[in-house]
Amino acid sequence: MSEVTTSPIEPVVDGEAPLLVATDLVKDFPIRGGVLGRTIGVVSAVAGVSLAVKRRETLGLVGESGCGKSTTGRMLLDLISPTAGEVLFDGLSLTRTSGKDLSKVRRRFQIVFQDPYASLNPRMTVGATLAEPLKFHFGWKDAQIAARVRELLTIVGLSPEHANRFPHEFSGGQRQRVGIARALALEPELIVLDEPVSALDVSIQAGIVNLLERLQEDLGLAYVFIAHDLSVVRHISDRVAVMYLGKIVEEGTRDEIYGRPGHPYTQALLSAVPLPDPRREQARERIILRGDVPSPANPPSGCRFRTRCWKKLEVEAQGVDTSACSEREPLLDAATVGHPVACHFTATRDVL
Amino acid sequence: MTLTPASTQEVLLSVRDLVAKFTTEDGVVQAVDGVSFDVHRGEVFAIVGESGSGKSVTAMTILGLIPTVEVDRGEILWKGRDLVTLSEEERRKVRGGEIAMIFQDPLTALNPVHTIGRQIGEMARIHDGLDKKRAFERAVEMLDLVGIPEARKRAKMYPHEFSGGMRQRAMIAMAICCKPDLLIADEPTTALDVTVQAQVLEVLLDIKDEIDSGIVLITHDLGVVAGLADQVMVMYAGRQVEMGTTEEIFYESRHPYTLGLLASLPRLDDEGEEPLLPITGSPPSLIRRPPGCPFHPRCRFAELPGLCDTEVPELRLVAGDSHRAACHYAETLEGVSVDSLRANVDVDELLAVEGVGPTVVSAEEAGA
Repeated sequence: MSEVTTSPIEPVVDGEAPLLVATDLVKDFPIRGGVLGRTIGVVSAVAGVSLAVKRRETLGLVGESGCGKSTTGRMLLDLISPTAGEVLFDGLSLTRTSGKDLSKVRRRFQIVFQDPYASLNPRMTVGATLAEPLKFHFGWKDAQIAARVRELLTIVGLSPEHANRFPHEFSGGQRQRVGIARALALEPELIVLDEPVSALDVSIQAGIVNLLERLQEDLGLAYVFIAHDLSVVRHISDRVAVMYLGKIVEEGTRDEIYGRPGHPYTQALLSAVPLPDPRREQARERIILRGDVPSPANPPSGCRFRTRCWKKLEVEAQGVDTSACSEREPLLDAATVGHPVACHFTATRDVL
Repeated sequence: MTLTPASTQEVLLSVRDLVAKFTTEDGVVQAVDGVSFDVHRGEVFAIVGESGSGKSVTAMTILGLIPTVEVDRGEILWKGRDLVTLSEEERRKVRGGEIAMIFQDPLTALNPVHTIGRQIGEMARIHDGLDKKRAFERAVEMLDLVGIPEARKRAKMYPHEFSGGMRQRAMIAMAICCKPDLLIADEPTTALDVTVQAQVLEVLLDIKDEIDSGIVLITHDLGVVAGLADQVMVMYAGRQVEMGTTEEIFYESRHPYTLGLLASLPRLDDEGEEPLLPITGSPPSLIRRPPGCPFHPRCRFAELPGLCDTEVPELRLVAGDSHRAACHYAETLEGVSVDSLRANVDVDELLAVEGVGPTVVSAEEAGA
């Protein structure tokens, strides 16, 4: 198991150097206002995120809308440049590399987006879409490209004849297969999957999840799987990081996060997911969070979760002093429950 | 067809053999095809299905909200009166006053240029004839009821000043403003985060008891159904394929589609190693339906060739006094469970591909 904390990461995880290492990533988006469009504030979308992904491993990145998971995913691939922090891909710093070297390393990591319709060019056939990166990065001849396009379509479960079709001729699940084929075209080592099955019906979703698992096994891929659906994440991930308001609040193996969650937010999140099982579902005790996620333009002091935290209220009711929650930011610490949790009052709780 | 009452409570809504269609450039879409069900006071009646199953069109047709949808056949009995034959004016009185709707996306359903309080109060002004001031007071009371803090202050705010969860509460406040007998909630929490979904569902259940109404809950989320519903109707390609109590549907399903949905779903309380069984192929086009059972091209139990691809199965009683399924072989599914399906799966099945696209490639495109 890797121990990722906000301190500089360990260079070696389980004896194997991680493929991707992100250290203290920060992203602030300016808020512009007034007639001159001056910067009048910043939205702190990601506020110091560190993580590592090994080869052949799936890291699940979960959290609710606006928690910064997608921004983090894009920074990992240098699609958005971080305000601070560094991303190392196979030892090479993306933040400090540019030009030809960057272009060369870029083909080793790819992204699959949520909406396969919006991310495919409607005027290009699927074959042309898949051929483009091959032409650009490899400079292949037409015949070689055509052969690879046929192969890619077959790998993702489509048939080679589909190359002549346009995106609108496919169903949602098939379009997502095209999106995956495009990501695979350059034989990447890592793929960031940003809500890849969220737009699909459940009966179709299962096929895509199974395909992703098969591809990982066959091609030795590493995944960063970004999703808000905690059930899918449990199914596909080896390790899971939970984000809240721009920070990772808990990180661990799948069994640790789902079996022994230590952070009050993780616990509330898991308890809120309904189970498709009436007897169990109706017998469950749900932690209902009050209020909404605070604005990332003006995050709470100390612990960012404290304004909605049920645990804080619980321990206050027992007469415990909780001033630490608003005064000191809790750091990720594995001391209490065995995996990193950022809470002053860490304790496990069974929520399923 | 007569249905055995599943509850001793008063029947509010009774839909009988409803057939509704709309016309598109490509042909006539049979969106709802012979649907019958009853909703009782105090009950949560869930309509479950995937995109294009006809669940939303069914709800919209009850309210007469889509002008392009034509009702071909059937009755929508509301407290004994057939809504289909009512004039638009009479229908409008029922809509909002007696039956209210909660939509999926509150930002598009709310008017951005009026305050929340005014929009909620408008319902009371139209249906209960309150004046402006009293309507505003009613709005404040309703916002308070759905758990919005500082309701009086919030009532003067505009929709963009509300968060997603608060907007959905405001929608609920608007829907319950005239104490309707029936709430139709169309994917009420689909656009929300899970922690906010939990808040909103809690409000919805409390409200139901508070105003003693019934709820028609339309959703694709089987988890939400499991937690909330009393009765469940599963729809596929515009037809009802299974109907029963929530326990019957989840634990003793007698339809291959329902079983397929349950087996394709990853569960939070699974260890993560269980195989997910996709349903092969894609839902059929509602313009050109397959012959026989609409589910037969995707069905793992279909006997082909045979009854499945020649005769449309009728919804019939298969167990107990209200458990119905539309499958020729429903009896053979007794004892089939998600676990038994998963135990007998082979690897190829897991990688099953959804069907080939709906259109034919033209010569022009093929040469492109």
